[in-house]
Amino acid sequence: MEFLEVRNLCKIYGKGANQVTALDHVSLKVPKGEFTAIIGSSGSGKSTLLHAIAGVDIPTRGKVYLDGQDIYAGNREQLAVFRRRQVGLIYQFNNLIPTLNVVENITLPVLMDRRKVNQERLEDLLEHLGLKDRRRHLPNQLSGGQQQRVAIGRALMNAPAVMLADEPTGSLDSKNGYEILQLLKESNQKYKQTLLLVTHDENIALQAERILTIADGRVVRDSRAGRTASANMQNTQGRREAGV
Amino acid sequence: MNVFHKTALLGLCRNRTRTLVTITGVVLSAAMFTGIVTFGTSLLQYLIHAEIAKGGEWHVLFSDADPAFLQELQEEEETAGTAAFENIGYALLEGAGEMSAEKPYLFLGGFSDEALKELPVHLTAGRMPENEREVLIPDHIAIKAGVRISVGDTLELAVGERRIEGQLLTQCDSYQTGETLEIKETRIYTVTGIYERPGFELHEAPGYTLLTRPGEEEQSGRYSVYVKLYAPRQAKDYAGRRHGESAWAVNENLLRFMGITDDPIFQAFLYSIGGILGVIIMTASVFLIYNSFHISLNERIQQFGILMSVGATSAQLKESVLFEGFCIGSAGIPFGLLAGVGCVKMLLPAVSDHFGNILSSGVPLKLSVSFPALLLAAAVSMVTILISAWIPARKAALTPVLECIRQTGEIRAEEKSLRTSKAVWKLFGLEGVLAMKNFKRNKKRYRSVILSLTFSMVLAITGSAFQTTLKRVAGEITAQAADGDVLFVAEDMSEETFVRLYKQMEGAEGIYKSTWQINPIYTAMTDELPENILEPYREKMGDSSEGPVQQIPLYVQFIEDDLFFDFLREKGLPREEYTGPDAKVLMCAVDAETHTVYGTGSFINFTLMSSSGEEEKEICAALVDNYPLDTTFMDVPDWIFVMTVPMQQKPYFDGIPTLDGKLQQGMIFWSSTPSKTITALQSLLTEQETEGSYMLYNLSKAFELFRNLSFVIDVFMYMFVFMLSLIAVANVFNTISTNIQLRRRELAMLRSVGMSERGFCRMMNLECVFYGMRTLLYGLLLSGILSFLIYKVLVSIEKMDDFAYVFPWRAAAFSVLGVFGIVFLTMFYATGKVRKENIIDALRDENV
Ligand SMILES: Nc1ncnc2c1ncn2[C@@H]1O[C@H](COP(=O)(O)OP(=O)(O)O)[C@@H](O)[C@H]1O
Ligand SMILES: [Mg+2]
Repeated sequence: MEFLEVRNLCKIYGKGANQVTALDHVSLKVPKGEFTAIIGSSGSGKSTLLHAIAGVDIPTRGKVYLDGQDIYAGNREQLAVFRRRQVGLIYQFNNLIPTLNVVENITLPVLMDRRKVNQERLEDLLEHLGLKDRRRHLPNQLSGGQQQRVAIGRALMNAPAVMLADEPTGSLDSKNGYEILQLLKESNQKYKQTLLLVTHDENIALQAERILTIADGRVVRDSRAGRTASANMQNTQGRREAGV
Repeated sequence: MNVFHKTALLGLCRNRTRTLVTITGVVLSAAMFTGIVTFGTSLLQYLIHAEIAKGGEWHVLFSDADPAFLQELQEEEETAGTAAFENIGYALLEGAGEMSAEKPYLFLGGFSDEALKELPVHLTAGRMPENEREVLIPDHIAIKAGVRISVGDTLELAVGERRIEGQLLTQCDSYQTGETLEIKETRIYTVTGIYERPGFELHEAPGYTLLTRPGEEEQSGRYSVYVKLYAPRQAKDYAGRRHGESAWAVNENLLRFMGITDDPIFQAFLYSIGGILGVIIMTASVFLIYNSFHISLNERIQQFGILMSVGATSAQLKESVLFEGFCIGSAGIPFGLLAGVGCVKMLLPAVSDHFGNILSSGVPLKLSVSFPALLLAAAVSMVTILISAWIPARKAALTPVLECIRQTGEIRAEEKSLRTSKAVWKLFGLEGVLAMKNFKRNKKRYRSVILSLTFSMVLAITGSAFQTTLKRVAGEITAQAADGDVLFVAEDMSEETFVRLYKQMEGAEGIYKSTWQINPIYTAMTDELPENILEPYREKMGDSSEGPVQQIPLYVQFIEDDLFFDFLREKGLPREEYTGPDAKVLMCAVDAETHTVYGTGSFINFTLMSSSGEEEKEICAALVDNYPLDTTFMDVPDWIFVMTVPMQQKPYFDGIPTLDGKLQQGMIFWSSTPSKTITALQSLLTEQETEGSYMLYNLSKAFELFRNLSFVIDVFMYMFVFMLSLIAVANVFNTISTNIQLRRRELAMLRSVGMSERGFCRMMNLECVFYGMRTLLYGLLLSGILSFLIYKVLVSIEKMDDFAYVFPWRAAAFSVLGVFGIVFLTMFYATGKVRKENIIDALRDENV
């Protein structure tokens, strides 16, 4: 069994006529330490997949195994601990705690575990994220990009086994985006983290070892780095959509 | 319906919980307002009807009208009705003592059938008079003047006119020194019955109204006319304009309850109590309604921002908001009015019994709904709703659109102001820190929670403190009061008659305990009075005797044996020494002014003397510090020697002449319903053949009145505290649940980064503790201060010392439990949904 396995994952929103199948029997295996990019058009189910893996969105059907453990098998407490220790999730939208300042937000998962904050790592992160002179600011005193960087800091702080990033660079300019990506990659290599990254940006996707393409809630393409050109991929996707 | 009305309605439907809670708030506050007002009007109506039952429905009395004036009054447009009886004249009431100095006459009224129909007469014994030679006498002749006239007695009265300086005086003119009674004729009447003091007799009237029938001829041509008006408010004015020659008076007792009075104390009472109650209720309900809108202020502003960004003008916004308020009001207010009236309807049967005791009029306490009051309640609620709804709209209109949408105003809180101390970290961990930060951030929002909780708490505690202090004060007062509730004192009644009466009377309604005693006053001689009695006695009485020999009056009580020997045992004295022919007696030397007892513990021998100075009997008395039962002596000197002897010893004292030649006997009754008992005893006594004179006293009257009043206060108090607590609960519920709703996203974020359910509960509970503590801090402090003030005031009014302040612990404990209970339950309920929710759903949901 691979480090991360997703089996027949389904997510259905709504009922009756309004029913939307966001994930449709998605299965995939990700070895430990792999950097995977997930691409697909808007509304194809990328975020839903990430959320299901992160344990924040209960899937309708299917299983998610991490390190051989079914993450939804335990009770709520265990799921909470899983989220706290095993995954770092960076949302597409800002989700910082408005009453906590930058440092507190970043160290939140550590504090929640009642562990001591690794000051070295914190400083390192603040340095890399360019938040050194913003440590005592509240989220609403920060720009959108800065808020996103705090969220990334929070995900990285614990050096979790799995990093899930949902368009982390979406609201950033290219220079900032590049830096963030470097940070994620560095962390990925240094801590042997498994990184799943949703993106629109082809250049970013191309840096990944593997690219998953999702359309209409299904994995339509799974390619190892360098083997598929972007144009090719677009074609494939077009054909599939026509066929549905 | 335009698009704004539609959005408003949609908004109401979508935020169902919030809308419901807001409507509940409106219902509650309208209900409270209506309830209090309806209870008040029902009470007033009751008092009015009781007064009418007692004294008839009239507003102005002309006490000296001739037939022409009477007819004029009858034909007057403003007059709704008249009742008139003939003024036959006054006669002196013989045997009236000091107690009736300002009411020395009998006043004869000739009542026609019409008059009897209009003016209430309550017969307590005998029958109504049927002709001009028969008469009813009012019972206050016996009670107040102490003159005993029985059914069947014949009265020979010298009847005449009261005059002063030639001026004719009537029942409206109270007794004046210098007035004369000009006798016109002698009339002979047979007493056919006794009736209750007529309510239509003015309180200050100088004559007891004797009710007879008008004769065929020999009419005086003078009438007392009772006028009922269409507009009672005009009573004084009407009388002033119409009175002609006649003296007049208005029916103060009745008009007072209609809110027409010049009596400054009553007015002050009415207005201050009413005012305070009104203000508190208004504030509380305005507060509640305002708050239920205010909690969602920011969300509303945001919504308005969005509407404005697509081009809504501020006028349109305001209109939509007012429409929303109107919808909420229309939904809530009718229910509130109904609920308020319904509550009072349910409550009335429970309290009506107690009112029956205050005024034994037989009038039922019925629900009376005042429509102006309902309208007022509805209007106040509606206005509050509209204002509360309008405030966010105005704020939104004044704020730049983008700021509305981004809601930067919300947490303008500085990081510094949210900083929490290390101690919180140490004590409560991360959850504590988060809870504390939240508490700090939401300070403004939660102010209303803390305020309303504090408010109800302070009210509950000080209310109960007020009650208990009042009761303790009353307890102190009544502890000094006499034994028993009803006292019967007879003079020169044969022992046979007395005992026969006692056997009959002790079975009267309401009596649960009774005793009797015989109270002669003897003269005694002694040379054994210790210095510590002799000296203060002589000083007090101004007695200039010297040497050890002293003559003293002995106020004796022969009491029932059981009572005596129980008392003896209590004092630890040997029974045998107090029985047999040479028995000792108990004595108590009291300074009656200061209630100080002298010379306890010693024994003195003394000799009872006859008035001519012969020695009659030698006895030995043990000096004790009190006596087992109040004596029935009415006039006691400043110093009194009370001698207590068991009834079994009485034969040894027979034949000893008393100081004043009189023999007094008394009965003491304990009754659960003293006023009913008195009535029962009166009618019992009127049927008895007795010699000598007697008097009945209601010792408990003041206390009973107090008891009933305190019950009324209790009812008001509890109703009030109950209503306010409901409002507080609604408020707390409203605030906390809305707040949790609004923090849904934030709470989901916490969970998404791995906060466990236990941690989450811990955080919420800690938040509760912080609110609770804050409330307790303010609440306990304030109620402590207030209850202490109340204590101070009451004690200083009653001039009591050695009466310690007691903090109302019980009430405080209950409120503390209540506060935490409310907060925790609400929190539990409010977080219940959030806890179970799918994280991502909450995170996605932008419009909470
Ligand atoms: N709470 C929801 N209710 C109904 N449909 C939803 C909900 N969340 C997402 N969807 C639908 O599921 C599909 C996948 O959404 P998402 O995973 O967010 O797409 P993306 O690939 O853009 O991240 C979309 O069609 C979206 O409309
Ligand atoms: Mg997405």
